[in-house]
Amino acid sequence: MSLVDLLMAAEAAQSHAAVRRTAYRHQHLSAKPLVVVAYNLSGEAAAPLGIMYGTESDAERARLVVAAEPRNRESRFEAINAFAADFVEFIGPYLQLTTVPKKGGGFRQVASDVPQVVVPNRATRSYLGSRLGRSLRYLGLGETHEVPEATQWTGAHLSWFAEHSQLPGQSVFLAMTESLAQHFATGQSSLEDENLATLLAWIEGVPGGLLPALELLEESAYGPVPNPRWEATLAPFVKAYTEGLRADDEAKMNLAFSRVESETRQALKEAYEATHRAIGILRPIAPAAGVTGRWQTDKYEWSAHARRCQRGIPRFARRHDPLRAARALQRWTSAADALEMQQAFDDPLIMARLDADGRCATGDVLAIDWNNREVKPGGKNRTKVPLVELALTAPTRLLRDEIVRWTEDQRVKGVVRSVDSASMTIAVTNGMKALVDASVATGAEMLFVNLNPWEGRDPWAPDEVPWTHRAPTTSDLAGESSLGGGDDDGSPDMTLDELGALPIVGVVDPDDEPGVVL
Amino acid sequence: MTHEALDQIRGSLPLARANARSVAALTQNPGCTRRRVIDSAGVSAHQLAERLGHPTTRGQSPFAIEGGNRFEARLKRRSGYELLVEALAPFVDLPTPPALIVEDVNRVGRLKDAQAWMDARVKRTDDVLAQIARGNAHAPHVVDHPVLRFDLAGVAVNLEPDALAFRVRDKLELVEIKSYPIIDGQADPAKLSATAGQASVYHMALRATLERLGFDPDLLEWSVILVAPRNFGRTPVAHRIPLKKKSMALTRVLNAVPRTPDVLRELPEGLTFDVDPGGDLGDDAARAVLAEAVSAVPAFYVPECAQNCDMAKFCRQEVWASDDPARLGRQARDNLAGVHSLADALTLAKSEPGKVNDDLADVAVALRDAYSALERARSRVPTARVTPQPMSGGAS
Repeated sequence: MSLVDLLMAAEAAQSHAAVRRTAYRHQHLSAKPLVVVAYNLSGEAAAPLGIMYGTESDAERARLVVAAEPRNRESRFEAINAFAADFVEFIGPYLQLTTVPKKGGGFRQVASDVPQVVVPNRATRSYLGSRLGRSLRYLGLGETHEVPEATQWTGAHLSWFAEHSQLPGQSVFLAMTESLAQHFATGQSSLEDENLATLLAWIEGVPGGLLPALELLEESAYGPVPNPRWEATLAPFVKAYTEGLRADDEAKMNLAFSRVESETRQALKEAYEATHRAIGILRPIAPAAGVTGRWQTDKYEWSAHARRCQRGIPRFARRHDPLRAARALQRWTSAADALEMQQAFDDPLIMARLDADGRCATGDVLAIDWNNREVKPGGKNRTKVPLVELALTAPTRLLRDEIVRWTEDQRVKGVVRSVDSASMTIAVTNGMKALVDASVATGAEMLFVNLNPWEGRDPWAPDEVPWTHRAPTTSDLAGESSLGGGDDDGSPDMTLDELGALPIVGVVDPDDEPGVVL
Repeated sequence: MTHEALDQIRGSLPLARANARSVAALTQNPGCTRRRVIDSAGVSAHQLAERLGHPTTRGQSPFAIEGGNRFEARLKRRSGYELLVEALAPFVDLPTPPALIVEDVNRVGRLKDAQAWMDARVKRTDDVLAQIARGNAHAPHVVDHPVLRFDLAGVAVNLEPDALAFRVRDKLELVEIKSYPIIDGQADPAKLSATAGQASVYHMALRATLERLGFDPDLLEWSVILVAPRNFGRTPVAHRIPLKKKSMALTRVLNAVPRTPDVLRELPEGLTFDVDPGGDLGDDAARAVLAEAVSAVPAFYVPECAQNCDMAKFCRQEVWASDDPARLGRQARDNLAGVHSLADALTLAKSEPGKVNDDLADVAVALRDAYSALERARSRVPTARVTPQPMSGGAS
């Protein structure tokens, strides 16, 4: 936590209200993103109790699928298949490809637009992607159960979303706790910021005292893990549903189902509306300059997925093989670096963190010597190297010979020629024309920073497995392994008899845990 | 003397035994005196927090408990330990069931008195461990539900690992059964880390027990074998998790914390958490007196406490009231060493150079620089101070 962040948090703590961490919005928001909130039955890997989703902020118009007994295959897949059908319908238009000319000649097929999925928190993002998506993506292969094609497609799409969500700066699969915490500072810890309900309370304000309100709000479960006590009240209905199923008692089943459904609807509605509210808070913030470019990257990546989809359901390996892993890591690392750099240049409030560390020089222009000519390193002829003389107005720790860039236009690059407590001279070695065009007047404020972004191609795109990734990886992990044994067939299934024999545990003692110490 | 002081703190409150959560709370934050006093005195942190008006509303889902028990039962009882032996096969070479000797320590006879039953189980575990350590041919291969008695930083705890497996080549293995899935060879990192933390306590206890019985503690492997469902099915899969670093770090930390008698000496004379034994005080009055008593014992709050400690909400409220930087997390507390509140940090940030006393001069310079950088940036973008008026989420 930088000191600037700490001060923002202190301000928030003092005023009992969130403080803006950025001047601009650093994520793309589509006109109508798909909001998805979900509850998973506790104790199961991927057995959704309910999923609510939609593009409208009005929860009445959102869709809800419910499994009254997620441990039963029919019940679970009835819900999953319904969600999958709608999800595929949502994705469909984005898979349309158009042909555009490539830069160096030839043509390329690109998707016209990118779907955007928004969830309340990081846990839901990882649940939908790496859990639910993973549990669906091998269905229909090997010895697994047959499922509708839309469900297989959903497994593939969610797997792509899960993978892509790792790319720093992506806006395709957003978790609102992450996005809001990026744009607002609160007076609570980052751990507590992972709760969308309390995070929103800091931003939107609450009537009355903040802390008591937060304690209450911490009770709300925005998924994927439901509130345990809520689950305890639900258990009898789940049981009744199974009993109805076993006895072929349709009335009992329907009654139990409608109870589970209405309870789930009520609980998920809150999370659904909160997620839309979070989007509503971010939307009016003006986007930062780099957002468009990063959305283009998202589009480029999505187009690759869309092209794969032309040839049938894309298949994903269980894990990356070493080469893919090395490449992905390299890509994510350079994306993270680029993002950090771009955000700093885009947003003065993010640049302020560097400024606080003394990495910036702020000053008023005393004079610019346009006629200075020097032989640049590696050059032969004397070329124009304007000297910018600044009267420093803020402390800096920049030293002689450091390479700096102008924060207004990062093409303008220079070297610190001399510095003392009151003034600094910078020799502008690159981006001369940009500086001329900006026509900086004497007396104007200029800000330089010692960031030096890489401008060439990626220096290291591995084409063979680097030694760091030569771990003993078996082919089992690389994708072609045998399927079956029920391991890849969705969540564990229980027969009706097994389900019937399950006890209702009721409300659990707070200290009860499997693997108990007495 | 120690015992008297601890008994006095508990007074007539019901005796609470250490459990998995309290052990986790203690080991996650060993620097917290309050938690140690509560545990040493045998006070239930859960009830204490409730009396203080900051109850923890956590809990386990009945579905999770049921699923966990079902998985464990399948591995052990319902398959006659066959599934467990199969899962452990890559790591431990055990004979299959008819030849497999299992000692279920739970079966030492259900004594009516819980304490006596626990003592009997501890005794039985010791005996069995001695048999194994001596290399007795009839020693059990699997010890189910062992109980280890252990002094954890002055708190006596009985620990119950899931199982101990005896490898033929006279090595002891610690086995832990969990019901969270291992998908494509990867488990949820947070859960895995919690398991490793829990197992390292078992590991310490087991080494201590072996030493107490006069055997070489290195008999025990420096790892735990985690048995959990593979992918989305119910087939168990085993993974070895190294524990050496974690276990040794924990040992070091626990050795470094002050002994309980020393801690008690620092506390006010006559301290008790049983503030209202007769029930004469009203609710609010009792709460106020209790809060005062608890506050007399220093706590070391960090936001992570909420994951393990039932007292977390009370301690948080305290830290918020005093505006302690710890409310933002460990890092904030460290970065602002010497500054006691966030408000002070802001005051320092806005202070005039040279007007701050010397101990804080360095912090003040850094804060002032940060604040002026922030204000300069804000002045460049006027909207940066404004919380936006929300738009309807669906609108474009």
